[in-house]
Amino acid sequence: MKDKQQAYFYIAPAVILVCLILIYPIIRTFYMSFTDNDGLNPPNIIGLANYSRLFFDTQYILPIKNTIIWTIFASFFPVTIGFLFAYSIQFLPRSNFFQILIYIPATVSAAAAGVLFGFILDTSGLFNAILTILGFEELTRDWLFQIPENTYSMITAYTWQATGINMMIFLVGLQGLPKEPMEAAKIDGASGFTLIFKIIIPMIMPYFVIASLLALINSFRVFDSIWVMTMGGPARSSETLAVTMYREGFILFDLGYASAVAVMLSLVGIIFSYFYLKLVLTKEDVGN
Amino acid sequence: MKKITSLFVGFLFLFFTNISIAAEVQFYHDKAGWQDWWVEIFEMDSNNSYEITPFADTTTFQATVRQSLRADPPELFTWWAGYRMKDMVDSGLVEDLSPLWKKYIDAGEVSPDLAKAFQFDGKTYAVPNLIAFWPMYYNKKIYAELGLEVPTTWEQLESNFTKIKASGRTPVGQTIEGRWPAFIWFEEFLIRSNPDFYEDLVEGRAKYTDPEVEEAFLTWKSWMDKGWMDDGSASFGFTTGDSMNNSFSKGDVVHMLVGTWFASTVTGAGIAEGEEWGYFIMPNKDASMQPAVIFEAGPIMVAANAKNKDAALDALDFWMSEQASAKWTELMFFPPHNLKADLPGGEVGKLVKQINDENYRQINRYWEATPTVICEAAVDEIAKFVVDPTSYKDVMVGLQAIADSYWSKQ
Repeated sequence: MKDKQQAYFYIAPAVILVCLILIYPIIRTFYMSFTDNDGLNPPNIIGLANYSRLFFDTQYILPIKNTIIWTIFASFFPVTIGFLFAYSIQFLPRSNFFQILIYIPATVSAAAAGVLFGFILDTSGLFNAILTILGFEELTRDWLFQIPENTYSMITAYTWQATGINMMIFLVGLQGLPKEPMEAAKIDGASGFTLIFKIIIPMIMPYFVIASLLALINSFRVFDSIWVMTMGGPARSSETLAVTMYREGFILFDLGYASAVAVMLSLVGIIFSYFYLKLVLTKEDVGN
Repeated sequence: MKKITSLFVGFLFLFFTNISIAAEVQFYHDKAGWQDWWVEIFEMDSNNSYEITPFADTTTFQATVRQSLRADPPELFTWWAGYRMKDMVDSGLVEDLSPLWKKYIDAGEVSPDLAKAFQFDGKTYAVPNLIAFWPMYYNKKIYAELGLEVPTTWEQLESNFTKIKASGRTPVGQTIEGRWPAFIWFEEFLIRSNPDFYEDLVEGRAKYTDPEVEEAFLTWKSWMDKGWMDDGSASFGFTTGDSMNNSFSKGDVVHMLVGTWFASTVTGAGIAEGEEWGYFIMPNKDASMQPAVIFEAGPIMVAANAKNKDAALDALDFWMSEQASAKWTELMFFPPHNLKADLPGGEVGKLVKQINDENYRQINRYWEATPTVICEAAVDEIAKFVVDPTSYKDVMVGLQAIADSYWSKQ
């Protein structure tokens, strides 16, 4: 009994912290989404007004569209490129050096990376300078100002940062693979793409599931990179729902409405993750 | 267990000791670059002690101040005038400073006109920390090189632009970096044609679909079409790269329309005030109209629920004095709020003298003059025009929809 009490004592700080900085804010945000909280006056309960505004206001079509673009591309590229790097690096001498090199961007904060890419993608930035040197001067532009190049440029910057962590996930998966099935496949004549798609990928599918799910959730809620590079502009052209939430909450101080956007973002993320996991894990079971 | 208890008691001791030695007047501001100057000026006040807290990020600053006003607010904080402070006033969360103003107005030390920027229903809720005007910065080296005169009429202005463009330079820099600067040229084109209409528009008595707005957008578009203005993609105040400020210092861009608070940033890019850059106020389209200039006032307010409100009021009494005003002008080159203090030197001093001597109409900046909800949405809408100047008709309709949405609820 004494041991049990001691156990509670040891986990208490973690439980208190989680309650204070996760559970309480979630409950509070959910409550606020039904109010007209403006951060100044005592809030009034306004029912589902914030949610109906979110669903019926046409100015949110573009942020929703941008969020979908981000979710698709910022999930696909970091995971795919991360896998390709992980797979290729195994065959390189001094692979540790390349692992570190590719992982370094993941250690930079998103805000710092945003500032860095702000300079790179500027009219007089490094990217345009490279294009000019290569003879593609007609392609130069302000990559963060032109629409829709700004959104895709930011996704590229995000991919640069997010690839490293995916590569590490796949490296762990690849290093843990049993050698026998691959050797058997090679004896049977499998090589190149056949080996990758028919043998390796199915074997490390759990790692793909984890990497894809994390990438999906992260890309769905990405905010800092966008805010630092374009603030969702120009003219809200690169705004995603996460930026909309921030803008409504901390620029217009419509905290009730911002909470409704936050709740919807979280709900969509949770529902999407649930069905994704269900689908993939069911396939896994069938496969097994 | 004894050790844990000792640590806990120690922590509590430190916590409460810290509270007991906290400064008497807490002052929050979002002008991190001014921190040393705030410290310097408040050190002159022997009656009060201060804890001056800078916020590097304006959004964080706003959220912190707003959330604190009911519970544990700072005694003093900087803010924005006009509609930007209205909701705080309406909520009763900021102190009425009318008695302080009366003292200084009765003594003939401050102008009652200055109080108007912070007045609601005849009561004044702030004192000024910043007084700025919005003139055109021009590059004197390029003017001398091309033999140009400072324009006094609209025709001379456009003639100068033609010559500057012919020399391979961009006559006017503009930027929409950070969203908010989109309104700068919108308000300027409106007041150059019809300042009364501008004041009606920001108060909801006129419409964004009216011909006056279309004329403003068409003038703006024609300047962009002629290559007199750049595309707005440059960053604002960096002293390196392709920023508007740096292009101005290099002479690639010859004019910028910015508040006088930008002067030190311009000089910071390596171009000397007075010798290499100066100010002029844009001429009106119709030369017979009263000259006008955009005016901006930044307030300091007292939180109504502040713990040391009396100390805060005493601190602002010091702030309004000739001594503090003169020092602030010396440090910041802002026009003084106390009439007994000397005008600043340099280009700002000349500009303020011109505005006073020639009886300029001082018009409140769009950012403060129109309701915040409209303004914040409008800058993004106006930015659409900068990105695609042919979209002005859609932008006008969009702006009016934003305005209708707000005014219909008032």
